[in-house]
Amino acid sequence: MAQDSNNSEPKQIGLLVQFDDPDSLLVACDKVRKAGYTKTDAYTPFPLHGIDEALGIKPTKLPWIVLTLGIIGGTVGLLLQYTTNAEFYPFIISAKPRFSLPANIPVIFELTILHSAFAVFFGMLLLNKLPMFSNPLFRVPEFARATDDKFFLAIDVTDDKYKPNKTKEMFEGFVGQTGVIDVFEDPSPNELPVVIKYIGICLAVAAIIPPLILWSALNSTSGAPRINPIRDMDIQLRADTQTQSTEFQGRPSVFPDGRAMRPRIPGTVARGEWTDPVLLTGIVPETAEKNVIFLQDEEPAKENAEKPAEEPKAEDKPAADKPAEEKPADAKPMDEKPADAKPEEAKPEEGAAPTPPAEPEPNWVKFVPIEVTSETIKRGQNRFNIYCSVCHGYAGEGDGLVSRRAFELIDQATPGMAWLPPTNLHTDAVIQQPDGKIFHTITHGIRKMKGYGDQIPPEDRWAIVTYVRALQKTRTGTPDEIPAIKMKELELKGQ
Amino acid sequence: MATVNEVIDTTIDDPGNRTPLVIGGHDYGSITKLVCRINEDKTPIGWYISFAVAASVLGMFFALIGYLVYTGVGVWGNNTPVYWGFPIVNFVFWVGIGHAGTLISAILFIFRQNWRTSINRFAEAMTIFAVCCAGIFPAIHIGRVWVFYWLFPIPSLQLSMWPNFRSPLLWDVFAVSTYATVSVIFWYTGMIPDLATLRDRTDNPILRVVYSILSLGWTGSARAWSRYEKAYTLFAALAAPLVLSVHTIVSFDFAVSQIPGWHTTIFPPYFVAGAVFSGFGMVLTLMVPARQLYGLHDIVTMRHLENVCKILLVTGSMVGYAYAMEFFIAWYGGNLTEKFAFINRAFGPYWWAYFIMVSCNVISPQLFWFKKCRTTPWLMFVISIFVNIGMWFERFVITVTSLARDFLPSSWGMFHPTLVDYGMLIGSFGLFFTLFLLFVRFGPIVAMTEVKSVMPKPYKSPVHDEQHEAEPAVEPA
Amino acid sequence: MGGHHKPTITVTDDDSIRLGPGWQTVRYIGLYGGVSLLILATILGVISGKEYLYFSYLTSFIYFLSISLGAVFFVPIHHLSRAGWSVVVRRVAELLSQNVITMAVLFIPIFALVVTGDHTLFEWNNPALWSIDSPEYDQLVALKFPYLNPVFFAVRAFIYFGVWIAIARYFYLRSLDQDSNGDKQTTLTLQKWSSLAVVGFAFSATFASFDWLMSLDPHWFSTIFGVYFFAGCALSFFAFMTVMLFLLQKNGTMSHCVTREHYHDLGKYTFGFTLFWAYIAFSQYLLIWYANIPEETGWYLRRQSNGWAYVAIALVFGQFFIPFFGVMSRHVRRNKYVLSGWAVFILIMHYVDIYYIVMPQVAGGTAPPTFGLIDLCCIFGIGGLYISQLIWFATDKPLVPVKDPRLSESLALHNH
Repeated sequence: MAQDSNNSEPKQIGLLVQFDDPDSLLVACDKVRKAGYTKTDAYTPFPLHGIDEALGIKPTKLPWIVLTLGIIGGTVGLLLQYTTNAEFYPFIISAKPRFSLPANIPVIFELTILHSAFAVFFGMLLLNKLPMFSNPLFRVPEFARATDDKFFLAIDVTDDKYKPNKTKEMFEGFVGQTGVIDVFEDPSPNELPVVIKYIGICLAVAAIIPPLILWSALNSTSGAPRINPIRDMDIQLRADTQTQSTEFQGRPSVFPDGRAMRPRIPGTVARGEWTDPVLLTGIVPETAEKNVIFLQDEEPAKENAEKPAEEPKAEDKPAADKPAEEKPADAKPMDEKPADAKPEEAKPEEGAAPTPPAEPEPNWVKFVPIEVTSETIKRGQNRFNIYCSVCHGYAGEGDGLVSRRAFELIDQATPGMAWLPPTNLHTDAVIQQPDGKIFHTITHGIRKMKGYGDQIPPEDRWAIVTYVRALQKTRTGTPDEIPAIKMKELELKGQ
Repeated sequence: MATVNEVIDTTIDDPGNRTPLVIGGHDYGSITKLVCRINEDKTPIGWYISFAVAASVLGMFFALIGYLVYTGVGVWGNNTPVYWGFPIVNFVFWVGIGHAGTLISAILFIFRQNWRTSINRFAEAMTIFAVCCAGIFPAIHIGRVWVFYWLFPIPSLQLSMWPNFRSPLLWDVFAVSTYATVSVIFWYTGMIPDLATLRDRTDNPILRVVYSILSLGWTGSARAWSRYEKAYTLFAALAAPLVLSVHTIVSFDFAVSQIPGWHTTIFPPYFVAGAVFSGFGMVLTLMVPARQLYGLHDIVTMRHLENVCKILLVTGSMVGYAYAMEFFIAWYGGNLTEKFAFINRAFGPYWWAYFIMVSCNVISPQLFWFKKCRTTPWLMFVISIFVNIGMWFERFVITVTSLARDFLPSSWGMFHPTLVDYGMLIGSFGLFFTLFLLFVRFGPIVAMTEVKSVMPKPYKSPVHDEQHEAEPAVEPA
Repeated sequence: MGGHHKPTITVTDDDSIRLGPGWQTVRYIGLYGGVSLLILATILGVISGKEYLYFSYLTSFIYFLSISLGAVFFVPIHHLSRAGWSVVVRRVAELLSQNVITMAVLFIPIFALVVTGDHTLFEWNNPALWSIDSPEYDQLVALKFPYLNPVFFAVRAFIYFGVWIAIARYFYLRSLDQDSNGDKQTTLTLQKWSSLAVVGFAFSATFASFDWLMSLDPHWFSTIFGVYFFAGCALSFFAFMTVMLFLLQKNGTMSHCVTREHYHDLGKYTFGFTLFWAYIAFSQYLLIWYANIPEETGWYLRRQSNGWAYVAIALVFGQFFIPFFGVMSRHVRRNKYVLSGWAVFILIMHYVDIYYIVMPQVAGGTAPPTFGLIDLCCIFGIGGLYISQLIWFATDKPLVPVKDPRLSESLALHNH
């Protein structure tokens, strides 16, 4: 509304009429519009319906701004995800394609809404020319109630139809008006005070400095040690593999010799960790040192006779000497012996290539050294189905899924590839094995079969042995081994 | 003006006559006074006491956050197999509460529920503060808070990599930050005219400057109102799907996985219904005492409270529907792990949490079938507290029971929250109430302009007859 | 928003709110045409192997049922929310809801199929799948036997139709009573019962969708399916209402009381439910796509292979993007011609939606999408009966609840 400010006299720039109720205002607006005034406005404490028509206010173009920005937002969302995940930094995760539209919808949606909402907010402010802190109307004391309970109609003096007296007369003639007020121009100067101007410039310059520092830091290197205000996992008391624990930033190494852990003292058993060796190995020990032999000592009595098999590479690591033994529960040293899984069991099977000199068989336990109940067999069946059946098949015939798949692959893809099927547990060779030997095989594996000693607790391994025996019984059993009562039942079922 | 006792029972239905939304014979000026009085009068001593309590709890919260940041997330009980413990439970809980405000202002606006005007400001403020509380948990749970910006797609020289947009956790970042932003500007837009009212009334020069800046020079011009109203409608149209999307995406955090009990297609609408439910529960928890303390009975009438109770009943029943569907499909689907997950929820080691959840969420709102319960403030206050508790436990049950008992029995384990966990849960309430009390003290807690536009006409217009003529007739389409 | 506008329209109980005589012709065309088309469909179906006929019939049946179910939902919701704007169109919705009776009759063939042990339509109805001795034994189907068996299926169908017919009849008859006595108490009573009606509707519609759509693939399951079906019901209902009001007004009925404001509101609901449908459909798809669990993905895999992917894309655009932008503008919603055009489009896409749920199960999911004479005969056969029954229900009834206490509010509706 304010035009030029060339004189010191406050200049009238508009005329204001006040009403106590909105209906009177609406009628007045209608009249003003019909009289041909265009530079009009009404001021009300709340939005009045019908005033757009009464004043002839055109529908706003805000929705179009919002629609445009919304579409831009959605496009940005799509492109952002495409470029970053499929172009700049392509990687596959959870088997999803690099550019997976369904997974991109949520972010597209959110960005559409975000852009639209900004369009609504800033568009509305922009169209309303807000913020505008200085307004001549604020100098009118009565106008303070325009945000409370009074209703105003204003006409700008620059309106073509404006005639000082006539317009005022018309205003005074409105039904329900409670006062006609002249509005004068704001006498304060339009220019910014110099101080504010300079402060603004200083602030603007100051605002550039941090980004500049950041920029230069990003593009330079420094030899100074990193500052660690928060530890950030940089400094840790630990020894990585293949390294020694050393002094670091004033912290001592874990042990003076650079180790992070002490070895176990040979020949000791930790309190509460002793278990009957028979249960752990399936071998009845022959010497007196029953309790010691199961430890993963660094310098063990290597020549202990009950070792079943000599590792082919027994020479390369002294610690790897005792595959037959089972470590108590979950003692750690076992993990250090990679040689365990493979060698083993120089039985006269055809698989083992560099046949070592035949060894005397250890003294296998003949029968399962735990109490066998139907629960045991059920447990064994359960474990067998989980761990063994994938290769040996549910019935133990060596036709598990792995084997079948292997043959399928040979048929279809790589004819000529060799595949040695898993052992059929119903062969005489297996049937005749003592229980302890089967247990040993489960524990340490044989040929291609890996050892399950570290996955299945000993009791469960014995349970599997009982189940394997039960499976074998299904082929070798004779009718007279069935108890009479059961036999009756079966006969009744007609089998 | 003193509070006029409820002369009309606003809860009685008279079809054909709509119950007035404001009672007590108010005119426009007295509405302004009634609302502004809260900001202008001397602050009651009760406010100072509540503020002191809330601020101390907030202090504890910040201290715990400091401890967490310095020490690491190990101070929480999150561990194998329950990697997601209290932080996500609290996050989802607060985000859920943060749904009521925007829902009231957007969806009830779209459905032309004019009664929303009395409570929307209040509820929106609550929303924003709840979202603040919610936002803190994911931010601090990443461990190294100072690299929080890695979540955003900012070209970074150090990383030379980008966030994974196929991850629901990243959708969450976008959804929650969009929601917070849009809620704030929606709330602020709604407040501009009321801030102008405060500006025009205050005598305190400092407050006057503050209110002047915040109200952006609003005059109440009809041309501005025209665009403002359009903007408000557009905001509502944008915020309505947004508010649905936020909890939908939060539910995706769980449901896109394959964990039994999490992967269920009903999760999106079920989470949204639950969020609305908890949000309205919190609205009631705050509104009943505030209405009493500040004497807002004329604006927030019994009818308003009754309506909120009805929404609680509806959304509580929707949540019940979702529970029922989950159970039915867990059986019908024939997936044994899924079936186990649900049996385990109800009868496993966390049965107590499950039964707290069901009794608070499904059973307690059923009391609102009775009109007596819908019109007794203390009773609805109690029920609303139950709803809050129940909804917290809902998130606890979903998060913890499924993780504690997933596919591999070998990796089962229990969740043991630490003192820091409990402290942070309580501390987040401190943040919430501190912000809320500040708002009550300094902001317009009722949308005066909107109330004025829907209240019964307080005047006899001298132009009544002429006005009638000027009325454009409704023409057939 | 302000009550500035006083009602300027009054409704009297006269011919202007009753069906014109011309509709009776339509009714007979619908009736005879419908019956003969269904007979034709049966002949064609029996010639070409019954399976396609069964599936096609089910598609059309569900399609028209969903429209009426939308009405069965809308009427109680109108009372529950004490809605004002919709009073003037409520009678039309009540009449639409009456057609659940028609649909109950049209359900008899499906019912008969299941009860007689036919399993071309519902695979699970094959005893060979349940009995452990059979080579076709299907563990999952056997596990669901307590739910998916012909007897319980029949009992449930009775319950569903019982609930729907009870809701439809109760609200309709009480509303007709009010026309004569103008008792305000009726409005309050209906409001009281509406909450129970909505609860009853929610569960019956959910389980009906499980029974008649989801169990077509007895292995598949989705907890959101009931909501998905409901979204389609509501969407098609609002679209159908719009078209019906347009046709009624075109023939001079209700022309002075239903204004562009009511179309605007119907348009808003159509728009809103378009969004809601998309939201629910996307949620279901995203979760199943993302988790990629075999027992769930199979359903969508079948619907993305053999040419079904084109139908899926057509749905994404036709059921969401196109109508979304089409009905977004306020100007479209306020123009009854344009809005009705969009409503017809949405109704067509709703058929595609149901088709997309049902038809990929033909031949165990190996058949490509086809659309032929049998489908047309089923659509227009059931559609003809649907329309003719609708006219029969509406004949001589006032199409506006003339004594509803909130009618004046509805007439004075003004969108801001």
